[in-house]
Amino acid sequence: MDTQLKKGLLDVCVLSVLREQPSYGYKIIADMAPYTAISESTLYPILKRLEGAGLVTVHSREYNGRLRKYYAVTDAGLARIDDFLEDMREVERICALIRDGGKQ
Amino acid sequence: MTAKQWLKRYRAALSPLPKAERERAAEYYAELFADRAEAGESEEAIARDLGDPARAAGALLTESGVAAKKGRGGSAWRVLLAVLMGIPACAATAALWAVLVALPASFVLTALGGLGGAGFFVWTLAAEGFAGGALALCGTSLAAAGAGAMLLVPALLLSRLLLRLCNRMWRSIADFARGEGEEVRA
Repeated sequence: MDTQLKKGLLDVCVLSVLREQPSYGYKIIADMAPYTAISESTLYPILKRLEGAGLVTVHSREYNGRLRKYYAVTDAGLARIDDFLEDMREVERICALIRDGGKQ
Repeated sequence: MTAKQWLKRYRAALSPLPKAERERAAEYYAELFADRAEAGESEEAIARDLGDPARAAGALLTESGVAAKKGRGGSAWRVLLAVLMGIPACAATAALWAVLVALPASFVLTALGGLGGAGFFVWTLAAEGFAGGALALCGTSLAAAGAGAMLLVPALLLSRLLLRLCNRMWRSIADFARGEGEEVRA
């Protein structure tokens, strides 16, 4: 898949995983694994970018005597998922055109 | 590779980033090591799976719009400036070394002088017979010897401090010449 396209998809995938509940690095990767492979070194820049854009927030919570960072999706993050789905509907229409050559 | 070694190399590769950002990124990986270890994986296996720390760092540097660190060669003017800075630094270093040697030496000599004085008066006592004045002088000499011995320890500590300050000064000049500690924006 095109790198740029996958980058955009992964951002929304992470937001979608976080929509269920706030989560942490290891679990985000595990939750995404059945759908798409994402490496640890790919996830961190995504989380950083999403946080910078105000789409997720980060909170440290104690777990087993150490601190673990939990990421939660913000309202802006949820809006980003909706925008993406809306864009995809348009892409589907364009795909139909590409596939059928405009013949319904 | 252990988690500690992996994180150390990762931090080093992130050196173009500000320290706070570097530490945050390292915390993320430290957390991953801990979570995966709790899931039953060995540190070596996790490190192997994470791959080259420099490559992981590269992904973040690219995202941050920062170029990976360039070669260690500093520019010519930096080296020239460092050499110029080195001249007064040499003088300061020489002076500090002189102090380093002179301080303990002076106290050792004080102690030896005191002992020598005491020895001399014991000898005169044996040769000339008992004299109150000679005995008092012997006591004074021994006191001087004691003072010298006691001052030796703080003198050595002070010398060590001066030596460390001197090392730091040289390191700073060397870092400057190499252009380290500066962010390289792409």
